[in-house]
Amino acid sequence: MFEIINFENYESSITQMQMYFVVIGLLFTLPIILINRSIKYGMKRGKNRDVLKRRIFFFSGLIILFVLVVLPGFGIFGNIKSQMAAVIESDEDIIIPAIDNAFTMCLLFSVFAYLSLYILVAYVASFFKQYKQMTVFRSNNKFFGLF
Amino acid sequence: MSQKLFLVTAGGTGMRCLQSFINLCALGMFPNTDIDILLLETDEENKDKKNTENLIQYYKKIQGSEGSTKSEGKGVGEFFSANINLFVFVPDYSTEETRNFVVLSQVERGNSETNRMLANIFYEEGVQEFNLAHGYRAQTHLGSYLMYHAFIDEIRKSTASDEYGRNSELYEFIKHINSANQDGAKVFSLGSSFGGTGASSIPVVPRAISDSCKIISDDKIKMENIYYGAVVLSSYFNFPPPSDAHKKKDKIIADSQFFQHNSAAALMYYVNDTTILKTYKKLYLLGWGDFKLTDTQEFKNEFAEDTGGSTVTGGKKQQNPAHILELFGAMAAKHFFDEATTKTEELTQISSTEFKYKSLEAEKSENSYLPSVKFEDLYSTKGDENNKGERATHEKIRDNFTAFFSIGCMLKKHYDQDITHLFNDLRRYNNNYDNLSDDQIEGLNRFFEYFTDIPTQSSSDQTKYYPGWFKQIYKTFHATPKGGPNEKFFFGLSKDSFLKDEWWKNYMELRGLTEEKAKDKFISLFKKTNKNRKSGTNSNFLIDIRNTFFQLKTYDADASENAETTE
Repeated sequence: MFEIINFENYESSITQMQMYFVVIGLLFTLPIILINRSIKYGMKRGKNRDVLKRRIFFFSGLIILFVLVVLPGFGIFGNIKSQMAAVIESDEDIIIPAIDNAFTMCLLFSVFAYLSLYILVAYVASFFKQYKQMTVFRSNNKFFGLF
Repeated sequence: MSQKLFLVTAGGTGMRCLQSFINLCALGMFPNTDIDILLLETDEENKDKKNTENLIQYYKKIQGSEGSTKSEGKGVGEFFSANINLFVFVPDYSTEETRNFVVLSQVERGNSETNRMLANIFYEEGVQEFNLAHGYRAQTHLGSYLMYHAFIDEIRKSTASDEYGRNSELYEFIKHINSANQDGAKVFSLGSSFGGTGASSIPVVPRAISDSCKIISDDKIKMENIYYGAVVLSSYFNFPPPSDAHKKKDKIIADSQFFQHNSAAALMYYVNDTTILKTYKKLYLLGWGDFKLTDTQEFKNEFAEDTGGSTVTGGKKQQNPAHILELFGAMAAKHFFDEATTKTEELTQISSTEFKYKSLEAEKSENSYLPSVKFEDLYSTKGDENNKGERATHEKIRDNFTAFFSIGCMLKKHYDQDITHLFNDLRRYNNNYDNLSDDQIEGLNRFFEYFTDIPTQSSSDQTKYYPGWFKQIYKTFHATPKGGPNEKFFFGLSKDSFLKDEWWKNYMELRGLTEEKAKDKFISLFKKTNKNRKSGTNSNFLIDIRNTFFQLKTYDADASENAETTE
């Protein structure tokens, strides 16, 4: 996945790594969008749980993404860091700390990508009068049904 | 100023036709129309009367302070878009001075022997002496005289005393007609030709109204701007004949085996009497011919707690199931009231009553014929063929009927007949209808219950249901209380929607789906059709849900069968 990393190109490699985390975040959103789309609207006397289910799936996806990214050793970040470390040609004492410092941004990028794509899909879908995704954020005419 | 519309209903059949009429108002058949309704009944405790009054009460509750739903449609519009005003007149036959013909007519006063001989020419002894509190008991010849007398007596008393007049609803109704004389008014009567009060009242209503207006206006009024129409129903139901013991106890008692004879006699009078022919512009004659009559006792045995016993002559227990003829009667009123079908200019040209009839297609079945009915049988206009691109009137009627019935079934199937649960679901999806009063919510619940299924008190845990108005019509159509007619016979509507409340089967897009998928698709469509709403009123809800149903194509079993045959 990564070409030989040295002092001259390690910054662009880190940028590449961060883009990779954006893609992971985007890819994580897709199954959640499909699952939430398949959860049917309800019509029944008791409390309908469809909105709650969509919120559970949405936040579960986010939490799973977070955990998978940060998991030490076997997590996505750890995995990518190992791959990058394997192709470092020189100046390891500069490049490895730089990669570690990029951890927070990578995490933020993946989470932000997940949230952004989901919100964008929900917003665009509402223009086509498909509101299931938007119910995650807005129900009972309130944000998250509360505010 | 738009033309005023007036409806006069008389007797048990008149009450049930009025219930059909109120349902038509709820279904949007009289958009943006003001209708004054006079309810004539001699039996204060008649269950049909109570049901009718309750129904109108629910209707008014639903409208609340907003009034009728504003509608853009002509001919067919939004639900609950008619404004109705009810006036009730029940002659008081409960006092010692009015309990029967003998005391009311003061036969014993003056030369009693001559009076008696004169009375005996017209009425048998039993007829003169039976208690009038439960109505005229199919004694039409007596009823006509007494109803006219009661009318005029009430108006005279109201004119003589301001306080009496303020409390008299009949007086108020007559004053409205009097005021409408300038701009023109259509007055339509509903009743039967075989019973008591209705058959008695229809022949005398125009005369009674005219004479009452003359009393109020001191004989200065000219009645040529008031146009009269009526529907007269011949016999369409029967019940077990009274036992000999019952006949002995209540000498005068209604017996359904004579209903056809009564109808025949009344109809012979209507077509030949010059007063009728000069007064009524249109008479709609409806009957059930050779089709199977509904046995009302059999129906009650199937659904109600009452398992029979004595023949019911009136009072709390007289409550017969609804019949399609009553719906046709109400539709006859629409045919008379609507300018599209009865232009006022044409009425002015009519010098002798036009008689209107209706026929239905039928199939031979064993010993009888099975009728079939379509929405175009209820009402259609000649102009429909020329309105290219716009839906025909009977198609709009179909859409409204199917949507309204579906709402009732939906509430029963999914929401325990409580509309607040539906509102909770819609609110969750950001369509909030919170601007309804408790009365409006109660009105909606009771009205839709009445339309589809009425919960009855049950000793067991499971709720039992008495068929609502539309389901009663379904079950009495072929006189099959246990089941109902095949789809193609009854408006092409799905049988499962009547027997299992599977409302989605009346729509092509939802028919093949499971219940869960149908619900999902309906809510998606609701969201697609209507904007998010932070706070909505009753009118908003009715318009929104109707618009949602209108995005779907209604199923027509008859059309589907024809399409298969063509293929």
